[in-house]
Amino acid sequence: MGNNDLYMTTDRAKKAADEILEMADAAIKASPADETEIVVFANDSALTRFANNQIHQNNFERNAEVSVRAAIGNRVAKSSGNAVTPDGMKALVEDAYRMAQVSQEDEDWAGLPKGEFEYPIKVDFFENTAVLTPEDRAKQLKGVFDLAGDAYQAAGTLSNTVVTLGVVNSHGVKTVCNTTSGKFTVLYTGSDSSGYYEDFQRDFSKMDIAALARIAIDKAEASKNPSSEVGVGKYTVVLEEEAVATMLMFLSWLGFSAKMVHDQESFLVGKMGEKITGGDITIYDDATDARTMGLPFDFEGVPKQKLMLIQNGVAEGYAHNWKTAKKDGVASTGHYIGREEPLPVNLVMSPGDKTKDELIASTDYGVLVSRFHYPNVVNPMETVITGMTRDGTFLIENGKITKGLKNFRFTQNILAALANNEGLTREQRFSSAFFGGGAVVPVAKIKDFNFSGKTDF
Amino acid sequence: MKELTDSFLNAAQTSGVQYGDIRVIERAHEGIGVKNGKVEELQRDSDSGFGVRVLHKGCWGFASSRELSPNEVARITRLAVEIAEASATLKKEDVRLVDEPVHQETWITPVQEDPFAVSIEEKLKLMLAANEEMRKVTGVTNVTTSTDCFREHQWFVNTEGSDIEQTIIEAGGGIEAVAVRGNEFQRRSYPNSFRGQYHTAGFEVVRSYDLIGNAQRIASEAVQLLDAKECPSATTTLVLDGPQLALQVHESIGHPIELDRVLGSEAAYAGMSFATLEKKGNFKYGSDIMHVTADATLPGGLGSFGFDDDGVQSQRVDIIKDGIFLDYLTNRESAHIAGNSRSNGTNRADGWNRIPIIRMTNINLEPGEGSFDDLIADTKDGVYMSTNRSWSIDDRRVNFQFGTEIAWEIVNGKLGQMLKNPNYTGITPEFWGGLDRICGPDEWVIWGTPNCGKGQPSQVAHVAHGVAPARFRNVQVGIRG
Ligand SMILES: [Zn+2]
Repeated sequence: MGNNDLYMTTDRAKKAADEILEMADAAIKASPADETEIVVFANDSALTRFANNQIHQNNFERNAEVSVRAAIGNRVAKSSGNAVTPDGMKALVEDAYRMAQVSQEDEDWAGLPKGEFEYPIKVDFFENTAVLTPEDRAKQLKGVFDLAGDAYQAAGTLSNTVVTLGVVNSHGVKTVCNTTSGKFTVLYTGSDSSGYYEDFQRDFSKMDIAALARIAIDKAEASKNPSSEVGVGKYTVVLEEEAVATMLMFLSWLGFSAKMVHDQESFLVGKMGEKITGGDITIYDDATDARTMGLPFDFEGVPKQKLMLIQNGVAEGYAHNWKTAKKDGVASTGHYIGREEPLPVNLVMSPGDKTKDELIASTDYGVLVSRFHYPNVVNPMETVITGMTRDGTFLIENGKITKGLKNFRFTQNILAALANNEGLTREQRFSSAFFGGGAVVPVAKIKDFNFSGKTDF
Repeated sequence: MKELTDSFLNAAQTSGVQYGDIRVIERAHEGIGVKNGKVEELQRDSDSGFGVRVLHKGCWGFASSRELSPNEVARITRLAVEIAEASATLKKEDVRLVDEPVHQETWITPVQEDPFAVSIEEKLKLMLAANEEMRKVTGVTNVTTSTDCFREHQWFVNTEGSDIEQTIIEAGGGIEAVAVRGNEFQRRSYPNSFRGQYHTAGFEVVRSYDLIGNAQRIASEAVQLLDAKECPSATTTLVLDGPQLALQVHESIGHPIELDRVLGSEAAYAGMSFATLEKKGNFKYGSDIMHVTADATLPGGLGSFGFDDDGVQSQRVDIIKDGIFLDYLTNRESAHIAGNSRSNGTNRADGWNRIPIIRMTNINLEPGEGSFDDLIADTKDGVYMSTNRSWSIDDRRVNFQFGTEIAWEIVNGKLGQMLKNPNYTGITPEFWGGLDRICGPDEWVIWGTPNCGKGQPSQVAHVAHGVAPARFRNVQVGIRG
């Protein structure tokens, strides 16, 4: 097996990227609109999904989104499809143009991006990741299933993706990039406990699947026979990376966006320049940090830039796209994501100076949380969210992890939690957030974290 | 079309697969959004492609492509077989499909007014007018109006001889007002939150909502909420309106009865279920008045269709009767594990590029008796909550917490003061055990949930819940951060 004809090799990806630019250029030149933009996001995605120590769903997808914005004066409309062909692009341009004709004037329209943009971020393409076969993925998973033995069931995903993102507009923006990524997630579930771990790499060979699986099963093993002795209330918690990343992504959705600030719907309204978290909290968006798996430019071709959001606890900034930037008389920060609200998606939280063991050792009585499940917003302006703990919740007594605990519901103000920070690790990891996205974050120790309910497992 | 499906059947036969199907799909969406008098969203989206699923050596393989040519169908079918072979190297048990009759049929959503035939100008006019009405209310910060319509045209052919052409059309929309003062954020939506109410139907449903007629009331309520009393923290009697009860059914009944969750398929992502196999036929899910159905045959729900993506005909099934848990949502590969000889037709894919997995159809709490006014008059004291604002539930669907946009006190059989920031929490079987009255058929509405997430790679399903307002005893309300 391993028939390379089936996959996107380096050469094929390059050729496809060149063709995309050429086709888009031609379609834009023929456009009747005042301004036209074509964005192509093409992907070859393979994902092997497993549960109960066997592969149960095994997928391959070749798709693309071709998205056209057309403007006639200040009237703008959008049309998208998935045919990466000259005719397909032409049809979308005409459709967007016809819709723009019947739209209303928008005095905030800033035009499409103009500029002699430089793109300092270079992303890599790893052919080994692009041509990974289903058999290659299955071979890696054998060890994952063997590790489960009789006591555990392994579930998760092993996936590899090739992405091409191209942006061309009628003001001369013309850029494209090809990149690859691999992702592994694993959950081991036993009779009364579970443990999870995950990793992302652009280069599949950098992933040590066996080592990652070992971390997950060790967590499941350590949280066996969970106790319900800890009641609801406020506790010191040590939040591992996934929980911290989820809190950061929620902050992003709740307000690090110029559009939300303009509409008075961001928690940052009236708080800029003020201290909103503890002094050792610094959060920024930075696609130049390769760990964030960032792309060189946003979905309107503007170079991504490092953007300070919270510096030493002080609210410093929020994301702009071309349109919101014009309204504020500033430059776009490169955060257009295809809709009105710009959004930081390459978040980083600065590290501290501790190890995770030190954070635990300094805790007399507290709870270690591995992950959150299904959080949602309770109060957006106060950044209050509620959710569950999941896959490894532990009691810390006298500086040591003593036992597994049944899961809690939390109802907690994120900014207040970051104000109650009592230490961060010097190590950071990229970790995904529950509803998508992710962040590069340390482990955080936080006091007075509010567990408002419990569940029976 | 026949060129494509024939190419698949040939390639499948050459490979000697046990079973195979192809779905060729064209999808279209049109969305319009107006915020504060400005058109912020005016867009059409479409895509087309095909997905091939083969059962080979006891395992599934799935591959899909956007390139609609017979050669690509052959390439992708070979790839699907290669994928199934890889799965088979680590196989523990063979996939076994329960029987389904061969169907050669055409099915289409009945619509009065094709939503794609209504002009953008006309839709914009309605959206702008409803927006304008809300903006007349002093104190309102942001107002949004939106409408969406969807069409999915699918050809399904399998190696058993089924050949089904199906077109599903959906339409909907809604209005939303936000009032902000300092740290205080209040929102009201109509007919439902998160872009409104949706049906498998034509544009006639959007007209029927009377968005303009409700605009000022909704905007005023958003503003009034700023000065409303905080929902007290208490254990009390709770009355839920249709939209909130629909989501309660969705999260605490619809998801736990998905058999694939029970069997662990979703363990690493959406989670599992407390409704384990030994509970089928005997578990007391809730009070005696509880009758829950899964009904894809109902007209107008987002979970209404002719055939699922296993090629199984749509059905109506009792899920809970007299409070006892009776059945799961199943597909052809899982039905026999629950002791059923036929799938109840809930295998649905989010487009051509995703495999079908078990999804809700229309999961309904069947109506009781009497009007909403009767229900309130019959309630001495408690809280009436309306319109979902937030939801969260654990990965086995036991502990949940919901917030709604607005609530009112119930005092001596009458609605009293408006309450803000209402929320409630509970444990699934205890909560449903406290259900003691459901309004009658006149109050029963199918509420659309167009944003149900599940699966990896992720799939969004459009599902629905027919419910009438209902009352629950001894519920904890007013949880604070
Ligand atoms: Zn759902």
